[in-house]
Amino acid sequence: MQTITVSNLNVYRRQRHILKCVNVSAHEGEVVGLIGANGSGKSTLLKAILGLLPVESGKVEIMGKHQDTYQRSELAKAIAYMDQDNECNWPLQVRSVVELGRMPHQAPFTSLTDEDHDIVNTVMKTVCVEALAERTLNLLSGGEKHRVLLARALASQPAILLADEPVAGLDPYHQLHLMELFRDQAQAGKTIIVILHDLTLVSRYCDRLVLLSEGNVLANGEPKEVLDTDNLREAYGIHAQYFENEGKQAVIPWSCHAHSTDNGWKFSRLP
Amino acid sequence: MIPPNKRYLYLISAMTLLLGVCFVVSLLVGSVMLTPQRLLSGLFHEVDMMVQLVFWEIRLPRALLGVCVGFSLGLTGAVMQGYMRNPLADPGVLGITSGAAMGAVITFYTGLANAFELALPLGGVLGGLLILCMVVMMAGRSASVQTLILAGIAFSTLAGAIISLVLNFSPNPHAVLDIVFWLLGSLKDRSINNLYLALPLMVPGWAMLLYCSRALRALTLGEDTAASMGFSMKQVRYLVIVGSALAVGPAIAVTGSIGFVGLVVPHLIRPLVAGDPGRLLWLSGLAGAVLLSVSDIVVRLISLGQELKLGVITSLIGAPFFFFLLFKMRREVV
Repeated sequence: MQTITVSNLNVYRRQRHILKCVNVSAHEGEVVGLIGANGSGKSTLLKAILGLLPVESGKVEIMGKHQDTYQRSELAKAIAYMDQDNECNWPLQVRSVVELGRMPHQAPFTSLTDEDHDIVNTVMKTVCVEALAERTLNLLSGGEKHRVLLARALASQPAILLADEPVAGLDPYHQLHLMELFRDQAQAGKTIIVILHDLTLVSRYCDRLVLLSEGNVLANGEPKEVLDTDNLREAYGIHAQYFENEGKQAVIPWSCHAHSTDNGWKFSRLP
Repeated sequence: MIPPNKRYLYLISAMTLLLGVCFVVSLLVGSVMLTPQRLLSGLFHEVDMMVQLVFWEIRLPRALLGVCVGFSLGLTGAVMQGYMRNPLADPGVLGITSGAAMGAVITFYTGLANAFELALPLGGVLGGLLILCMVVMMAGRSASVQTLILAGIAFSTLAGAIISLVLNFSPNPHAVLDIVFWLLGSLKDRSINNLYLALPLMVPGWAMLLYCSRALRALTLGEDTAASMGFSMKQVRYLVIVGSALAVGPAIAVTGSIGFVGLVVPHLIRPLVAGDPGRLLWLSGLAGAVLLSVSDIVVRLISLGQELKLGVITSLIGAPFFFFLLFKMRREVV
């Protein structure tokens, strides 16, 4: 089933045209990698799907229903979001942070039910953080912290999970581990859209890639098709080296794309 | 280990009990010391006019105001820190308290303060509401938290400048002394009418602030995450701004500036609730009421000829306590 349908979406932020007639969709059970250079509109697209930004024109449909027809709390149950900024402002314990994920299901002035506690325990086990339950979030290592925040997002039992650079700053083991967890969740039927900068990671773990370039969808399809030489030059201004293993491609950024000008060599993406 | 839910209920009960004790002590202590027996018998059995007068006209309004003002300051401080996600925020961060002080000082200067009984607190309330309108105008343009803080600094500075201007132009030293003493903050000689003026504004303010507890908890992980969890950040912003103005404006208008309670109380309570900014609210309110009641009792017990001002004592008690806490926790405060 198609869970997210974005059609002809235009978004402006501070009079700047950020998303230009974007069409994107995602199905259940799918990990979609959202890639593109800094400032290409990836985070804006996620926030537009979440309904956090005013939309100029176009529409966003969630589970076949127009986004505007949802109550805030209904939307919060359907979609969970992992923000790029993962600071926790107060010294909360890990369990309390994961419990925050149950808030969309909780009526005001009530406490968590036994069912809520069961769900919290289950997701903590799923992402291997149950041993950290009593620890303070901000004192955890990066890898542990990202897993806890994933548990928080999963605790609301969403159909859709949007993650903005969830592996930024993690060591290779924890990057792979987190991506495995995303794969497992997709296997269980969730729709996952994840913003990543590591081209090998996206090619290895995503079913489909959406490549944004200056607010346009430059390419949309299988990783191999999307990550071709022309697209990478156009979107990132780079040359990459390709290797193959187990039928998947490793894409390693190799050099900046430069072109000759009257003043000598200039990097193409610099103004 | 006690589960957090139960622990929270215990804490609330303990704090309420403590407040109850402080309230009763506050009724007994003063220039005329009453024993519980004398108070009860004077009120109900063999009616003693002196006890009646002291109780209804002096002690009860004073004790009640102490509780309400303390609750407002503690609660607003906790909400401000939670909303701004900044441990330095206090009830005065939006400039409401300075506005209230400015309003009151203007009634002093114009002589309105002596025109009718409630002129002074009314002036304070109006001053606070004036600043509130300005803050709301700022917030309407989807202002960020940083913009609100900076606007608050601008409003506080402006109100402070106007207070200085009034002091500058005041006709005689007595007027200056009146104003300065009022600014130090006190609960002395406030009639029950002050409470009738303040409470109808404070209660809706408290309700708005307490309603934010869930949103404040969600805000722990940032505004976008909180919004993705179904909270309208615009609604929360208005609830916080209007609620804090209603809670704290009348409090300052009635008592004068009482510093530090709103800043320090949430820090004292935070370790007890493991940092949860939602559970902090009720407890901070109650603890604020306790701190203010205790300070007011201390003020009445210490007689140095000149009455000690409440605002002075809250800071004198609060600051070393705060320092001790910082010293003990050092890294973990935030």
